[in-house]
Amino acid sequence: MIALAAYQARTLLRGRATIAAIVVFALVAGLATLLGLGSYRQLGLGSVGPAAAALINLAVLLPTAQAILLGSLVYAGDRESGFAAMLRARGTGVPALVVTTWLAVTLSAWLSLLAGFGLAAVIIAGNVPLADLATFVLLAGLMLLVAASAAAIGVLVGVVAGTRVQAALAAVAMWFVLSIGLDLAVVGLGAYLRFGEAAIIGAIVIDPLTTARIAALGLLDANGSVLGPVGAYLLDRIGRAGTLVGLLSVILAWTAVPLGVAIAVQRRRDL
Amino acid sequence: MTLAADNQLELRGLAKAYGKRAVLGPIDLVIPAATLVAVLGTNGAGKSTLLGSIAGVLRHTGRVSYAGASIRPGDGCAYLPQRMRFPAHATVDETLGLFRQLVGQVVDRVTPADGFLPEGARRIEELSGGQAQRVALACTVMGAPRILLLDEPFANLDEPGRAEATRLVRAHRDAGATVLVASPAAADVLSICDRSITIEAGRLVGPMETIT
Repeated sequence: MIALAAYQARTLLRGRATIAAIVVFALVAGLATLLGLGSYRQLGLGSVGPAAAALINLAVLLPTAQAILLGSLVYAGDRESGFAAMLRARGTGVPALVVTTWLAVTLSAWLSLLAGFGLAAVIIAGNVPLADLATFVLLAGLMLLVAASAAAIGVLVGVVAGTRVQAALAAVAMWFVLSIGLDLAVVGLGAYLRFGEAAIIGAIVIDPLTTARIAALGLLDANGSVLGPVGAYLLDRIGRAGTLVGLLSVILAWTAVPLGVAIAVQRRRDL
Repeated sequence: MTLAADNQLELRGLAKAYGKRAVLGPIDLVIPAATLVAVLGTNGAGKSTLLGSIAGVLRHTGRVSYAGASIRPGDGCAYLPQRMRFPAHATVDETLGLFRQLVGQVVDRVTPADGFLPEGARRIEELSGGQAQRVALACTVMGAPRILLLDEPFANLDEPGRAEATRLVRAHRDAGATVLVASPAAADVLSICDRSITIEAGRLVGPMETIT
């Protein structure tokens, strides 16, 4: 399994799409940080300013898009090309096929995050208090977790999709729903349908990207107004510590459950 | 490593359907050890489905056994799917190395002759169709499989490539392995095989024939 994971990772990291994703995220994150430093509020990690919000949103949106898309494409591509079947016939288990793909894709998304947050750290070094840097590291760790969740979702999409093209389209649709669609639904329908507490918490739990955004707010000890109504509601009702533990559990579950479902589905499908 | 001569590959009621549409079988067939079988049939006849079902990568009904025991993926079966393509950015050496790891400590029965494989540092995306097929064949014949399932293994190969591929396949047969070679063109495989079966619309046409 280690050999296969290493092979998948090497192969993936040489791809132009992966390299482009890493470079683009690093540049955009660096730019957002520079703009933040240019304002008198600096990066604003102690009190969420526009620059910090931009960095969080960028980290929640771009590497997760990379992870979902690559996860679906790599898995569906391996199946379509016969590579997965050849490995399976030689005794590679279905869990190993799924998990090694996830590991490789997660690594690629993590490299994007490390490049982006690394560049941002270099830019802000010496400009913010030490306590804010610790928060910055926690924030980066949180984004690594949500990227792993997105990779797991991408692999699940690749397992369920019939072809590589279907996998790509489904991955884009999935990312759109998770990144924007569910938020829009909550904002658009919440007042009209008079969502209760359970429904709002449900809206968070069904979307790991929203979960990560709100957890980031919790880390920054902010009020939830910057990143939307759901975050404001949750922080107000549950408090910071409870919110963080709950949200981290949700993000971890969004990694384990899609991987488990992907393995179960693949066991019942042809390779 | 030579396999026992009384080992045989046995298919009992092997069938495959997509929903209500049956695409294969039921097929009953016994193939003796050390036999190289040509699987013939037109496009869409069910040759690839048969090989994939035996390999255990396609879900099916019925039983596939070898030496009396049901076979599962990893039970000494090597499978080369049709139009196999490795990840484009991997190198030849990395790909061969991966399959070496999967095969484990088993000694290779036969190794490709010098010049059969492209340079190890080249990426799969840089190879021609024939060169990529040579790499796929080399991965498939690695180790000492009891059963080899080859779906159009000679596709894209030039004459020297075909000759070497034939030598590799025959070496496994000579060591006692059961080898099935699928092809839509009988002329491609009949000259190297011991026996043949023909599939039409998912069903065996007549008994297995001995090629003289």
